[in-house]
Amino acid sequence: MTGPLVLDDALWERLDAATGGAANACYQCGTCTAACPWPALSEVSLSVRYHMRRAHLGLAEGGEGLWRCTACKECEAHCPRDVDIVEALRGLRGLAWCDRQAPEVLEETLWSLYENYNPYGQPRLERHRWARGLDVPVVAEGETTKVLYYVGCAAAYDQRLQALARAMVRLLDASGAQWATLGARERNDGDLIANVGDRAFFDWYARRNAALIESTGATTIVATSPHTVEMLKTYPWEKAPEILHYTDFLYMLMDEKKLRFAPVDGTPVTYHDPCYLGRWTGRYEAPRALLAAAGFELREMEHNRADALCCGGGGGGIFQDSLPGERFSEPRVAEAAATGAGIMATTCPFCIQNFEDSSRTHAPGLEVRDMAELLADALPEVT
Amino acid sequence: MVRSPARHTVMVIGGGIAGIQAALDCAEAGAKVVMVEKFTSIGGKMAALDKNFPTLDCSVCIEAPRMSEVAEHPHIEILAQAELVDLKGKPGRFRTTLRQRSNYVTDACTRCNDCSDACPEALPNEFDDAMATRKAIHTPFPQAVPSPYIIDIEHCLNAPPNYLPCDRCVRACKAGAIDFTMPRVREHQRRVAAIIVATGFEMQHPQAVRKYGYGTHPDILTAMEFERLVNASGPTEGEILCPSDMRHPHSLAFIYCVGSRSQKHVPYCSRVCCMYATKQAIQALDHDVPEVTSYYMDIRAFGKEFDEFHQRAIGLGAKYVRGRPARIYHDGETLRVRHEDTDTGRVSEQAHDMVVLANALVPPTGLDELAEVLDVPLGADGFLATPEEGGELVLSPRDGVYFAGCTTGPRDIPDSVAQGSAAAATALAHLKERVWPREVPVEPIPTDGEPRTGVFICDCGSNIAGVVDVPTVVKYAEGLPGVTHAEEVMFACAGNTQAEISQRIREQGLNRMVVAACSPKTHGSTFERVCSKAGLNPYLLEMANVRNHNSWVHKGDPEAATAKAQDQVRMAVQKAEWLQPLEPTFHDVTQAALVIGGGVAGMTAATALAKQGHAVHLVERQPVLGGRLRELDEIAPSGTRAAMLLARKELELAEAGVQVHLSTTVTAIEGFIGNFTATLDNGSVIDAGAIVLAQGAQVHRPEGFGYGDDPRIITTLELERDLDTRPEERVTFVACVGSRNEQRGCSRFCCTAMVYQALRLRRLGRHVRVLYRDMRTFTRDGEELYDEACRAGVQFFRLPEGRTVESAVRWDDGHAVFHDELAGAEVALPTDLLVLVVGLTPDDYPEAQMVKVATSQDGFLLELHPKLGPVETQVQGIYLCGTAQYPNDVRGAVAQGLGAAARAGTLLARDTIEAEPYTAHVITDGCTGCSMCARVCPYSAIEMLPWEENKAGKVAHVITAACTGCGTCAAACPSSTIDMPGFTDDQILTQVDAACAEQPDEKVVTFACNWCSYGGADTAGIAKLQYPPSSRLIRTMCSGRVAEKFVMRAFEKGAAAVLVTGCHINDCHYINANHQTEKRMKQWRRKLERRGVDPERLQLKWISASEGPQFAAKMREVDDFIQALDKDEIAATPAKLALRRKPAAARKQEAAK
Repeated sequence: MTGPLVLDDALWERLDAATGGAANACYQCGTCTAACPWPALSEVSLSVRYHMRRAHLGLAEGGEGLWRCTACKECEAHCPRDVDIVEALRGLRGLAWCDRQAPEVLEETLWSLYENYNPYGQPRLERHRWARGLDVPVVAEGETTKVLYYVGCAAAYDQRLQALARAMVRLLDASGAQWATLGARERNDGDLIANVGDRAFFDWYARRNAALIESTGATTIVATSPHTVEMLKTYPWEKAPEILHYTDFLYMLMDEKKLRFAPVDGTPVTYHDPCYLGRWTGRYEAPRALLAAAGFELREMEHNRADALCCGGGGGGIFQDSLPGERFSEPRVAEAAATGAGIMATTCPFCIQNFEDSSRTHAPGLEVRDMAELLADALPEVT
Repeated sequence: MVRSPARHTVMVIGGGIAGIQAALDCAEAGAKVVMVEKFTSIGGKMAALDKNFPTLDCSVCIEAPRMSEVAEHPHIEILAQAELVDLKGKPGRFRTTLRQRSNYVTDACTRCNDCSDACPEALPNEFDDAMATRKAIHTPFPQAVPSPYIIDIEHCLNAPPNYLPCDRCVRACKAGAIDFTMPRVREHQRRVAAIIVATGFEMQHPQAVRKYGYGTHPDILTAMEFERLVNASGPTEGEILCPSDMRHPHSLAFIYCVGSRSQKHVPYCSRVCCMYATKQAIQALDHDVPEVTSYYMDIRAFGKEFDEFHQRAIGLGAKYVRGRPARIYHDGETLRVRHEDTDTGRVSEQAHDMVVLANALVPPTGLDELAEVLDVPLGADGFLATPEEGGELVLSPRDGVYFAGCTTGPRDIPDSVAQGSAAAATALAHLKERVWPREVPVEPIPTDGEPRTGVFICDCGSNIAGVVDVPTVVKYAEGLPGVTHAEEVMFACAGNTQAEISQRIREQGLNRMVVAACSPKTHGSTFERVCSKAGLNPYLLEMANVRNHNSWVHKGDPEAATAKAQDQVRMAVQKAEWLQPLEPTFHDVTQAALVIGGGVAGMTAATALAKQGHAVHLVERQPVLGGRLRELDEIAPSGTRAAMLLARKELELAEAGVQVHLSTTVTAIEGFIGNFTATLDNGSVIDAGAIVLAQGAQVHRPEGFGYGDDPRIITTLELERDLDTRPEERVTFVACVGSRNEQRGCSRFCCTAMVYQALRLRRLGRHVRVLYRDMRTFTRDGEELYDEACRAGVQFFRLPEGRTVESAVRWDDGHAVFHDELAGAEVALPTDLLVLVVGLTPDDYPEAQMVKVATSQDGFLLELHPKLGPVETQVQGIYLCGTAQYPNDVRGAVAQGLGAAARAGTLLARDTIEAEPYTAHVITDGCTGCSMCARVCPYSAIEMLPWEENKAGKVAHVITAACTGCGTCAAACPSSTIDMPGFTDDQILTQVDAACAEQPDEKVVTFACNWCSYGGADTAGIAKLQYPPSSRLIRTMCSGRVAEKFVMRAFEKGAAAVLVTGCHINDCHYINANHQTEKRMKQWRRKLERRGVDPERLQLKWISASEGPQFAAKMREVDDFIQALDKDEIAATPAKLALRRKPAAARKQEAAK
C-alpha cells in the first residue's frame, strides 16, 4: 500500500456522467448484495454494494465481479432507495471497458456485432436460414409492413432455437395479422453493447438500427426475446413504434378473439418468469393466461413472478463461460423438476439455452420449451 | 344569560400521551376540556408499551396515573369511541359535531368480568396486537379509562335489534349494567375555543414489506407484538415464548427500518425504532434470551443518554450488524435472515428462532378524513402539514387548531409530551375566562381512634409479583398489629384500582394507609389523592417501595426479596401508626413569570406566558435577543430564514407585552414555588411565581484538526455566515466534532443541519463530501433531505464504528484522510474547505445553581422526568426549555418553550397554591433555650424569643414561611422538643425498630434523603442494577434529619451496620444542611470508637439522584463489609453502648498508660 487513495474529482465526474448519477442515491445498506443471487452460489462473489461504493468514490476498476451481473434486477426489487443499479453497473462496466479491463470473450463478441451484426461470428447472409422451407414474409428495402417480427440472433442462428422462430411463424400466421421480418437485413438488438456499457458504440449502433426498422414503416414490433423489447425501447426513435414481447402480442390477439387454441388436455407445465419480462417490466400474467388458454395445467415453482430466480443469461452472461456449480440455471431447473411438471416453459431464448444445458445434469427428463412452441402445438388444425 | 362554553373550553382529539398532557395542562390552567378518543380507552400506544427507553420505566405505570387524573378531573369530559365529524366557526367560538358509538355498559359496571366470561364470541384482541383473544364484551386492558367494559356490537350476536337473541351477558351481570337499548350512535355538539389534534400514529402493516415474511411464520413478530409479549399483562404474562411452539427462543433478531427510510414504502425515518428496538434487545437479554442480534443501518440514538443506552445493550451482549436484510424466510427448521454485514462485506443467512420487525410508524387510518373536517392539508408523508412559521410543528395552517405528538410525524414520548404542553399553551390563549372545579366535600374519616391500617400490596403486573411472593406478604401484613385489611392488587395505580382502594378505605373505615408498590417520589401524590377521595387525610399514607428498592434489584433471590418486602411493609405499618393528620398551608402566588435566556426557546416561552395574561420578565445577558438563531441563515430542514423567524418572535414578544431586560444577568434567586425573588445585576428585583430556565448552550469549540490556525478549517456556524459566497471548490464536512464522546452525547440537530448546508453547496456546483458516523436525519423531512442530497451528488463517507471523529479523521494539509469502512480502504479527500460540524456543550448555568436545579451527567440541566417531565425540573416552580436541557433543533426548542409556558401557566393561573405542611414544630414545654436548632438551620427560620410568661431564658420559634422542612433542627435538639411532622422521632425510631425486628445482624439500616440518595436508589431500581438485599431504607427529607438517637437505636437493636446517605456536598437541597450531617457523622463514629464499637459500622455516602450505579455499588460494598463482621461482635454492641462513659479521670489514667 502506497498511502491513502486520493480521490480524484475528474474521475468521479467521468463516472458520474457514465452512470448518469445512478449510484448517488445509494446509502450502502447492503440489501442489494444480500438480494443478489451470486453470493448464495459462489465464493467468488459479486458485491453490488461494493460496486456502488466504488461509483461513489469515482473508482471504475472493479475486477471480475463487475462482469458477473446478469441484470436480473433482483437487487433493484429490494433496493430501498430505488437505485437504478443495472444502469450504474453498466456505467462502471463502460469505464472498465475503455480501460480494456473486460473479459476477452466480450471484446471478441462485440467485434462480431460490429462486423456481422450478430454475436456468433456467423455470416450476415445466414441469418434468414431458419426460415428455409417456410413461407416467411420478408420486408425488402423500400417495402413496408404493419407488424415487424423481430426474430433476434439467438432464434435466427441457434439450431435449437430456430424451432422457436418457426413456431412463431405458425402463431403469427394463425392470428391473421399482416406481418413480416427483416430477413437477412435484421441486426442484433445491441443488448450486449449496452451491457458492456459502451455507450458511444451503442448510440451509433442503435441510431442505425432504429433507422433501419423505421424504414419498414412498422407500427408494431413483436420480438422473440424480452431483451430485444427492453433494448429497442431505449433506441433514439424518430417516431417510436409499439414494441411488444410476443406473449403480449399474442395475449392481445387472444383478447380480441383473433387467436384461438385447441386446448390440450391439461398437460402439466411449470413456467419460469424471465427477468426481463418479469422483474424488469412486471409482466407476469399474460404468459400464464396464454398457457391456461392453451389448456396447460400450470404448476408454480417456489420462486415465481417477482421472486423468480435468474437463469444467468442476462447482462452479457450468456456469452461468458461459467463453471459448473456457479450456474444460476442449475438450482432453477431442479426447482422446476420438483414441481412434477415434465415441461418447463419460458419466454426468453437465453433462458432456454441455459436451462436446456443444465437440465442434462440437474434435471434429466425435464423438457425445456419456449412457450411459443407449446402454444403453436395447441393451435387448431388448419382446415 | 348563559355564556357560551366556548369561552373556556378546549377540545383535544386523541387520548394518547400527547393528548393527555395537553388536556391536563389546559384543565389545570382553568380550561374545560372535551377529550375525543377514537378507541375505547385513552392511553394510546404508550399504554401498550412494556418499558420506555432509556429509563426502562414501566410504561403504563408512569402513564396510568395521568390517565386516571384525566378520568377523574371534574373539568375533563372524555368521549371515547367518538370522532369529530364537523367543524364550523372561528377560533374562540368553534362549533363542533361529534359522533360517538355506544359501549352498551352503564356506570353501574363493577368490572367483575362475569359478562365477558359468559360471552360466546371470541375475537382477536386489538390491544395485544391480536396476539390474544377477547370477547365481544370485554375490557381492553386492566387500566382502561374511561369505560371499563364495552360491547363490540359489530361482533355481538345480539346486535340490535336482536337478530340472534343472546342475553348471556345481561343475565350474567349482577349489577344490571348492560343496556342494549342505548342508541348505536349518538351525536354531540360541543362549543370550543380551540382544538388540539393529537391523533398519534399506527404501525404499518408488516405484510407491506413482503420480503420479511410476516404472516408466513408465527415467530416473525412485529415490535408491538413483542412489546405485548414481554409485558406482564400481555398474552404470555411477560415470558418470551415463540408463538409457534411456546419454546424459549435461543436466538432473537431485531430488524430495523422495516418499511422506513424506503422509497418503496415510507421515505421518512420512523424516529423511535432504533431506541425501542435497543430497549427490546436489553429486555430480551434480561429475559434470558442468550443471543440477540440487531440488523440496522444507522443507530439514531439522538436523545439524552441514548448513546449510552445503546452502549449498554452492547455491553450486555447484544450484537449489532450493520446491514439491511434482503429477506427473511423459514427453511423448515429455523427462520433465516439473509443480509450483508456491510462491515465485513459477508453475505449470510443467519438462523434465528424469533424475528422482531421494527415496522414503520404511519399516519393513523382516517387522518385524511379528519384533515378534511378540520380543513387542514396533509403533508407528503401523510401526516398533517404545518406551515412551521413559528419555528415548530404545533401551529396548524388554521388558526385555533393546534397539533401535538405524532400528528405531524413520528415522535418519541418526551417530544410528544412537550408538544402536548406546547399545544395547550397556544390553545389557552384563545380562552376568555378560566373556571375552576369546586371540590366535592367528602365526609372525613375520623383518625383519632385506634389505628385501623389498610395495606395494599401491588403486583405491578409481574414487576413485583414476579420476584416477591405477594400473597405471603399479604398474609404477613394481616398479622401485623393495627392492620385490619390487607390486599393484593395487580396495578395499584390503575384508575379502576384507585377507585376500589378509595372504596375499601371507606367501607373498612381505614384510618391509616400503607401502599407497598413503587416510589413515593413518583406515585405518592397519586395515592394521597386516593386517600383524599375517600375522606382520609392524605398525610396518613405511607408507602413501601417494594419495586424500585426490592423486586427490581433482587431478581435472583425471590426468598430474600420476599423477606425484605415483609420488613418494608412492617416498617411502613409501624410508621403509619404514628402518623398524624396534617393540613396543608396555602400561600399566594405571584402571578408573574421570569424567563432567563432570550434565545428562541426563551422568547417563545415568554410570549406564550404573556399571551395567557401573565406579567413576564425576560432576562438576557447579551445586548440582543435571539441567541443562536441570530447566527443562523436558513433553518434546516424547512429552509425558513432565521432572520424572518427572529423578527416574528421579536414582534410577538413586543405585542404580548413582555418586559425585556437586555445585557442583564440574574445575580441571586431566593424563595420557593409561587414566590421567587430574583435580583438582577443592575440592582433591580423581580418577583415571580414561576421561573423558566432557557439559557441555551455553548457551541463546541474544536481543538483538533488545526482549527484556528489553518484558515481552510471552519465550523458549521462560520459557514452559515457566508455559505453562498464562499469560493472554495471542494468542501468536506466532518460530523460529530466534539459530540458523541466520553463526555457528550449526540447533539441532535447537526446531521440535518449539515446535510442541508451540504446540499446548498452542491447546488452551487461545489464538490461536497461528508464524513459521518451515523446519519441521524430523524426529524420530519430530514431523511427526505438526506436522500435528496445523495441524489444531488453529495458524497457520504461513513467512519469506523465506535471511534470519535477526532481520532478517525486526519487533516493532512489540504486532504481529509480517513479509513472508508465501506470501501475498505484509506481514503484522502482533496479539500479546499474543511467544515467541522459542531454540536453544543453545556453552559455553567449559575441561575440553575441558585435554585438548586441539578445537572445531568453530561452537564445539561436535569429535567423532572426524561419521559413525562421534559420541560419541568425537580424544583417546583422552575421550568426548563431549549438547549439548556439538551441540544435540540429549532423545532424542538420552540416546542419546549411553549411547553414550559404551559406548565408554568398552570401554576400562575391560580391565586394560591397548597404547600406541604412539612415544617418544623416546637414542643415549647421541653425547650431549654439552648439555641442548637437555630444555629444549624440553613434558612435562619428559627429565632430564639423570650418566653411569653415571665420565664427566664429563651424559647425556639419556627418562622413557618421560611422553614423548608429539612429537619436538621430536629436532629440537633438535645431535648427532643423540636420535631418534623411526617418524619418525627417516634416515626423514624419505630421504622428502625421494625427494620431490626428479625435477624438484625444481617441488615444495614440505611437512611436516604428524599432528593438525592433516595432518588439514586430509585434509579438503581429503574436500571435493574442488582445488589444484595441487606439494606433497609428509611426516607427523610434531608440527611440533616438523621439524629444520633436513630443511629444508636439501630445498633442497640443489633443492626450490623448503619449507612447514612445524602446529596453531595454543595448539592444539598437545603443549602448546606448536609454539612451538619458530615460533622455529626464524625462525632458519632468517634463515640462508637470510644465505646469499643468498630466505627466502620457507621458509614456515610453521598449519592445523587442520577447515580444509580453508585448506589448499587455502595450496597454491594456494605454487604461485603457486614458479611465479614463477627456476629458475636454485633451481638455485643448493645451492651457496649449501654455502658455509661467512664469518668474523665479514669480515661486520663488509661491514656497515661
